[in-house]
Formats: sequence, structure tokens, C-alpha cells
Amino acid sequence: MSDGLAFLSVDAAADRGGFHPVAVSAIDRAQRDLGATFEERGGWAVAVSIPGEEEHTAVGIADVSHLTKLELRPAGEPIEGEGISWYPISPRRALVLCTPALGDSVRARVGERFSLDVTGAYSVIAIVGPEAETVLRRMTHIHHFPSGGEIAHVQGHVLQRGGGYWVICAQELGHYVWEVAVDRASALGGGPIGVDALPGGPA
Amino acid sequence: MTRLAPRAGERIDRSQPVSFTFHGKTLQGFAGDTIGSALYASGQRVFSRSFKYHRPRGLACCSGHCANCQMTVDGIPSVRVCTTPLREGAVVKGQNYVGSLEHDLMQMTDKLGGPFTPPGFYYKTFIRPRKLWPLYEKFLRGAAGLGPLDPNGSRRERVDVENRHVDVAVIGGGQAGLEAAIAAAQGGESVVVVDEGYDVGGALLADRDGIGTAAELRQRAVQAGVELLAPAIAIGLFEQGLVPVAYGNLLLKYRAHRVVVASGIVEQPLVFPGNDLVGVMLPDAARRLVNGFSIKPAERAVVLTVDDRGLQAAADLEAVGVEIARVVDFREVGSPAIEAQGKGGKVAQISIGGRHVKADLVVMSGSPQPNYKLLAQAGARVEYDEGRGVFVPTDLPAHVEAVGAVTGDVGEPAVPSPILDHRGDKCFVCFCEDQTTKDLKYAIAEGFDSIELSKRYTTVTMGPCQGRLCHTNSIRVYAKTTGIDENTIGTTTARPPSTPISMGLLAGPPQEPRKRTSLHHRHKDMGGTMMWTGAWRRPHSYGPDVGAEAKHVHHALGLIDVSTLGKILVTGPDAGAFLDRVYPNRFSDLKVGRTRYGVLTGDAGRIMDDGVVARVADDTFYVSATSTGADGVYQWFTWWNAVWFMDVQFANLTGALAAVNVAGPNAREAMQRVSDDDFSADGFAYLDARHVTVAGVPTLALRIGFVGELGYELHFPSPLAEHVWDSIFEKAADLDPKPFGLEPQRILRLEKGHVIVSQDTDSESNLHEAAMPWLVKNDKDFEWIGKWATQQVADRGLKWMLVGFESPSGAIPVEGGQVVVDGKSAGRVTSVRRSAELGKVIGLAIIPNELAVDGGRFDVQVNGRPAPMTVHLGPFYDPAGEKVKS
Repeated sequence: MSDGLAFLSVDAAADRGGFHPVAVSAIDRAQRDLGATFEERGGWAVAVSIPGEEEHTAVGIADVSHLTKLELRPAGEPIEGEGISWYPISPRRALVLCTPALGDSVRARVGERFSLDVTGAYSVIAIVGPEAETVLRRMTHIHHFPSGGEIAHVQGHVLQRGGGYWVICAQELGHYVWEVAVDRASALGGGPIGVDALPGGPA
Repeated sequence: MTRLAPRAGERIDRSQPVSFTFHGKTLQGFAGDTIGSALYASGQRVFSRSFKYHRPRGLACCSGHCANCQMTVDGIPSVRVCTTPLREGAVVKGQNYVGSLEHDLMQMTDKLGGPFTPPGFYYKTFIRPRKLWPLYEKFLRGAAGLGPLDPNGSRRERVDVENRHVDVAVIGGGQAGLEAAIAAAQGGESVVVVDEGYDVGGALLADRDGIGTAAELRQRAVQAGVELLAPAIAIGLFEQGLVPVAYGNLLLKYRAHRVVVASGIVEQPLVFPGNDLVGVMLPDAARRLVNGFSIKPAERAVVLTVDDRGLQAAADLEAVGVEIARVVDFREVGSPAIEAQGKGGKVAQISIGGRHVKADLVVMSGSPQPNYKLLAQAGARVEYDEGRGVFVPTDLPAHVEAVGAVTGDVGEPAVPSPILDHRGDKCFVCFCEDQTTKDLKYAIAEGFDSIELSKRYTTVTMGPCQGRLCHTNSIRVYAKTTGIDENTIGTTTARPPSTPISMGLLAGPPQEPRKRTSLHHRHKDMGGTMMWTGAWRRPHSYGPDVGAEAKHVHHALGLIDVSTLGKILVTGPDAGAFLDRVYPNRFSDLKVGRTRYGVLTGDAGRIMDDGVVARVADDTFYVSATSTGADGVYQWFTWWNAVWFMDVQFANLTGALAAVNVAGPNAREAMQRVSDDDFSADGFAYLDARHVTVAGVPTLALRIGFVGELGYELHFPSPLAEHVWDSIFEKAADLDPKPFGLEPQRILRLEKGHVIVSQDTDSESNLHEAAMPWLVKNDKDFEWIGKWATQQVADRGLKWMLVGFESPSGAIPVEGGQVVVDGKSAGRVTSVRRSAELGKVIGLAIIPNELAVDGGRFDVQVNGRPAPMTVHLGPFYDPAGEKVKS
């Protein structure tokens, strides 16, 4: 990504002049209202646990919007590995998601491809547990993964990850999709969880 | 009590009593009962009052087809209790009566209302005087109808919509449907069976031996892995195998590779006087009561039949001790005159060829009509089988199959036209809408002689049964009256839902997508009143005095969240050339680090959007668009490049980046508090675009001035918006920063005479008549989009002009207010506000071009009277732009 586009990158923010930038997700307030415990991870305020999450064994809804996200054009060769998710949106576009700690190493593998840091563009919501599929079916008709389409009446994408699903949507709609996911989960005995409660550990 | 001693194969489990209330009285049934069977067993015979005449109605089909048993259950109106499983504590009430279900005062309409309520009566008898219609309407709505809804009620039950995919969807869980499902499942396909009844089994559930067969098939289906849903309603058959199913409070949207329709038949009533009396029922109703629920439905019965179904009912009734007084098989005895006569609305005797036979039950069986509606919805044709006297489906669509009786295989041909000769009134064809043979003949005589017209005029088939019990008979009446054959008459169009379902289920769970900026909660925390702007929520203002909120920007420091602005990256070697093609003005010569205002025009030269374009690198432009136009502009760009194939890429970054405008005399100082970069007048000139760092966050800053003061528009990643916003407020606290919302912004931009696209422009606005001719650059190599049309406007001469105006009297016209010249409408006001800073009412208006001179005068209608306005060309505030350029 050229220097001219550095203003797109959440990762480029740094301590300077006494300022300590911390990024927050579009779902931050909803989780704070639930009494979530936050930790600063990779420059983000991340909800690591939410009161009552231990009861949400049927299905858990977690905010993993802090994942680094790069859009590559053309898609080209997949960038894969532990902690990295490759999602070819089309032959000409791909989305790479990874933990913030892996951001630099992923960027190094982009090569000559045009890339955009779209970390701040998307909210990502994880749906995990035995009833995860039912929750997803109550949000969208998408049933082949990964795929994009209408989710809760807005456009988004669904990937299969971590034994469950990741729902990716525009960040300005993140709060709304979260609300829908939590609502659907509540009817099935599930609810919000922190990232540390995700199977396989935090994203 | 009419409950029989325990019988082999009965559905009910007598070891599990279930209590419920009916009009406050506690009654008891058993597990396995329906609400209808439990009520019937307790002695209840009147289940409802008919739609128009308030005639008492009793159980007639026990299959969920007719509307006779509709009651209010647990507050939910119009529930068909004959198929609704009984549940503990259910609160059941009748509906559509005044007084009581047994003694409805509105029954006088049956006695007296006939002459006043012919078909279409609301066009005839209650039409004059017209001014009394509101009164008539109120009365009629109260007098007729089904179960009432609480107008103040809110959503009480949760509904969910779930998408499912299956190989085979079988609609109808009778014998044919279950066998088809089992075969498919054993072949490895995923299968679901959907049945409207209280359980799968279909017609088997009416037959004593059939009940056992149904149980066996059910077990085999479950073992094969078939999913059984009952009671569940297949709402319709849609394209690509979509079958929505209403299953309790779930709307299941099945998408199936194959659909098998096994919806069976609908028993048809015979048409004769008194055929709607309580105690007149179809064969399956009597048989289900006897065989399924172990109920003796009467003491003495008469059976009228055109096929073996009536005879089967007679046998089952006789087996439980009902005296069969007479069996009239119309295949053998022709069509004697028939009339059922009652007492208090309940059948007491029946006249057959003039001879009276006492009976408290009449079983009537017409030719069973294949239940073809779902197939017709899917596109199948329907034809009249003259031999059987029924309509059968033909020419099924590719992915739809039909099995069982729905295909037309209904047994031996019956009497083709069981419309019995009669004299007298109240031969009901449509039980739901209280339409008789007399009503249909009346409509034909009035000229409504096509079945589609007749339907709309008489409302036959438009009731809860949706034609199941009346459509075929209504066509037979038409055929008999007009002499036209049934095939030529045809059927009406079948539309979903095939069975009434609740609006709440179709609406699904309440969810309203709304976009929020990443500063949403800051606005609320600071007292912002939120409003809709397209799909976005934005702050209207932060207090009651919007004038003061605007003035504060002029005198101190204001911050506004403009994150909703469209932000589109245009990058690549042809980026500049591309923008030159889509914009009227030129961008390829824009220097790196500079901005320029642009207006997009469509093919017809009409203004479609506007915004500031910044060149952030040699081959990269950052294009802003209006909040509601962002997606449209992105599509516009990509669509045109699909034509031109230029070497350029686009990225819609609208949500990825937040944007904040910091404006006012203290803006420069405020920025210096949060950034080490040079914000001086020389270091950051007006219309510059600079890469800076604000509070540790890399930011694209644009020095532009929509609100007429020194200002910087900051663009940075959305997740860091709260940090940047908080940092500015904290570090510049002594500079008196205040947030300002959309309404003060509108005042501020109006003071500068700035246009808002779609507020001050419409689909006919062009650059010349919107006072922006300076944007037109016709010396570009390429014919930019809209060039020809824009030139046409210049060539034909300007007719209109968008101008600023002041209101000398202080009168405030409404936006959209009419400009009046020589007593005629000659334009409109597009924007108007009172400016607290200027102490006057200002606005923008579209007026005849010849009046568009500084100081020119025109009138605007205000409260019905012309109010004088004065043309003001140019900005009202700081005309020389000294403040924005400071």
C-alpha cells in the first residue's frame, strides 16, 4: 500500500506526543453496556469476557472486528497460514484476515498486488457453538461458504471459521448485525461471549 | 357429553387430561384432542357466527379447510380450532357476535338485512348521503367480520424466520405424500413433509383402520430420516423451489430441489337450502370425530351423497350407535328437492322430495375437489374433468411433482353437478362470505358474468377458505345459470397464501437496519438529537437553540461529524483521465496535495451528486460524495469503466473512514494542539490536502469551507474516531469547542449560498440553471458525461435560475413554497432558514431567469398570501471568503 494511503490503516496509529490511540469496534458500546471486560490488544480495545457467557453454551456471539483485514487486487496466490484467513471474493478481489500481530508479515507477502487496508471498514462477528448453524439460518439464506449475500437485510459475507462462522459486514452496520445475531442466539439459549471464550482461543 | 368409551386406534390419550377455558368456563379434553374436538365433546355445537348474516355455524370439515370453527385462542383471532392441538390453559372464545355466541343480537341481519345487503351492497345501499359514509363504515366494520385485533396491541409473540435447504419438500402428509417422502429418503435425499392437519396422515385420520396405517407410515418416515412438520402451512410455491412454511411462530423458508405436492382433495358441500345449519357437515368431519376423537356426533343422521364417501361416513356413524334415518345416494335417485330446516340455527329435520325426516346431523358429500391451488400457483394449468365434475391440474412445471388424489385420481366419477334443484333462500355457495346461489345469480344478472369479475363483486372465494369449499360450486352455479361450460368459465387465479397466515409471521422479527457513524455514542452522550439521513442516524442538533449552535461556529470552534460523506478512492494510471470524463470540470490537472469541488452530471446533463476531490498522489484521487449518493456514485464510476476499460480502480471507503470537520476562528489553534504538523495559513493553504498526524493517527486533512469559516476536514480510520474526537475536545477545551449538528450546518452553508444536491436541485437541475456554469469545461478531449445535454441548455437559453434571496419582512416561506409572478406559479423555494448571525431570513429559490438580478424582487406564497423576497446573488456571509481563506 502506498504511503499516500497510510490514513486508511488502523495499524499506522501510534503513540505520539502524549497521545495513545486505541481503536474501538462498532460493537464496543453494546458490549460495554453488558459489562464486558476489555483489554488492549494490538491497538484495539477488545472485549475478552462478558458476564453470563459461561451460560451461552448453545451458541456464542463474539466480536472479532479487531482482526486486520487487507483487500488485494487481483486476488492472486492465496496467503495462508496459522491465524490467517483467505477469502477470495472474486477472481479479482480477495480479503485476507489475520490477528493484528500477523499484520506486518501478511503485508510483506502481498507482493506487487494492489492492497487496501480495510481493517476499519468491516465488523466481524463470530458465531460458535452447536446452534451456530441455526442462528446463521435465521439471519441469512447463505448456505455455501465462504460466500457473500444478504444477511439480516444488509450485504455481508460469511466464512466458516473456528468451528463456527464469521459474519463480515460494513462497520457502520456492525452494531445492527450484532443485535440481530444476539437476538437470534437468545431464542436458542445463547448469547454474547468475549473473545477469550471462543473455541480454539481468541482470534 | 358425547365422548364414547375408549376405542382402539383413538388419537386421544385419556390418561392425560388437558384443561382449558371457553368463555371463562373451565372444560377438559385429552392430550391428542384438538380444541375443536374437545369443545364438541363437551357439548358445544355453535362455533362461530357467519361473516355477514351472523348465522350460527358449527363444525363442518374438521380438516382446516372451512372457516366455521374460527375462534380466538389466547388472544389470537381467527384460529381454526378443528386442527389446533389442545394445550393446557388455552383461553378460547368465540368471535364476531354481539351478546353471546349462542344468542347473537346481530343475527337480525339474517332476518332483516337481506334486502339491504345484496352483493356489492356498500356501493348501493350505504352510499347516500355520501357524508354519512364514515358512520356507515363504522357500523359495517363493527357488524361484520372475523376476529378483532387490538388496535393498541403490540407484538406479543416472538417470530423467527429460518432458511432451510432440502432435497425434497413434500406438501401433504397423507398416504401418497408419506410414501413419496419415504421413498425419497430411502434413496438418500433429505426430505421434509409439511401438513396442515393436526398430524400427518391426511384422509387416513378419518378412517378407523386408516389411523393405524397413518401411524405406521409416520414411524417409517421418521426412521427413514424424514422431517415431519404438522400442523404447518405451505404458504405457496415460488420460483426455484422456494416453499415458505408457517410452523407455529417460525417461518421456514425451504428451498428444495424437488417439490412433491400431495395435498389431496377437499370435500365439497352440496348446495341446498339450509346447507349451512349447525349439524350439517362433510363426511370426513363426522368420521374424524368418531374414529379419531371417539365422539358420537349426533343421535339421528341423514346422509346426502354423490359418492362412496358419504356411505363410509354412514357406516362409521352407525357403528357408534347413530341412527341413520335416511341415505340419499344421488347416483341412484336423481336430484329430489332438498331442504334442511333448523331450530335456533341447528338442524332439526330435512325435507327430501317433500317428505320430512327428523335428524340432528346431516352429512353431505359432493364430488371431492383436488386441492390444486399450490400447483396452480406454481404454474400448472387447471382443466375441468367432465366425467368427475371437478377441476384437475395439468402441465406441471419442471421441478414440481404431484402424487395422490390431487392429480385428479379421486375415484369413480360422481354426479358431475351436485347443485340440487331447490326453491327458497339461503343456499350457501360461499360459507365464508355468506354468498348464496341467489347472490351469484344476482351478480350475473347485473353483468358480472366472468368468474374473475364475479369474484371481486360478490367476494366468493375471498374468505378464509380461499375457495376450497366454494370455488367449484360457484363455477357450477355459473355454468348452470349462463349455459356456459365449466372449462370455458375457468377458475380464478390462485395466489399465495393458500391458507391465511398471520401478518406478524410474514413480517418476521422486527429489525431495522440503520447505519451509525463511529461517533454515534459520542453524539448521544453529548445530548445530540438523532435523525434519519437516508439509512444513517445523524445528530440534528445538540440543544434547543440551533441558531446559537450555528453562531458558535462563527465565533469560537465547532466540530461536526461528517463521516457519512461518500469517500471513493480512484486510483491508477488513468485515474485523472477517468475523472475528466465523468465530471464536467477537469481534474487531471489538479496538483498533488490540492482539492477541487466537482459536480457530477448524468447522461442527460442533470446534476446527480457533488463533492470535493483531493489528489493524494500522482495516480490517486480521493473523491467525496453526498451521504445518500455514495453508493450511487461508486456504481456510476464502475459502470462507466465497464464501458471504457480504463486502467483505474475504485474502492468505496465510505464506512472505512470517519470524517470530522473542525471549523471556526479557533480551528487552527485547536489543530495545533493535537498535531505537530504545520497548520499555519502558509503551511496549509486553503484547498490544500495534507497527510498529517492527529493525536497519533495518520489523517488526510482537507482545508475546505462548507460552513463559511476557517476549517479542516479530517479523514481517518473509523475505529479511531472516538480517540480523535475526544483528543480535540480535551486538548482544545479552553478554545470552547462545541459539537454542532445537521441543522446548524444547514444554516451555515446557506449563509454561504452553498447548494445541497437533492435539496436545492432536482432531477431537472442542470449546471447552468443551478448557477454553476464555471464548472463546465468544454475544451476537454473527451465528451464528458452530460456534455451534449448541458450544451443544449446553454444553446436554448436559460429559463430558470437558482438564486439566493432575503425576506425583507422576515416572513419565512416553507421549503417548496411557490414563487408567484403575475399571479402564476413560477418557481419554488428550495431552502430557507433564519440566520441568527445575520439577523435575517435567507434562502435559495428557483425563479425565472429574467428575475435573477441582484436586488430583483419576486413573491412567495406564505400562509396563502404573497410575501415579497429580494434576490441576493453570492454568499450572504463573508462574500469575499476572507474567513475561509484566513
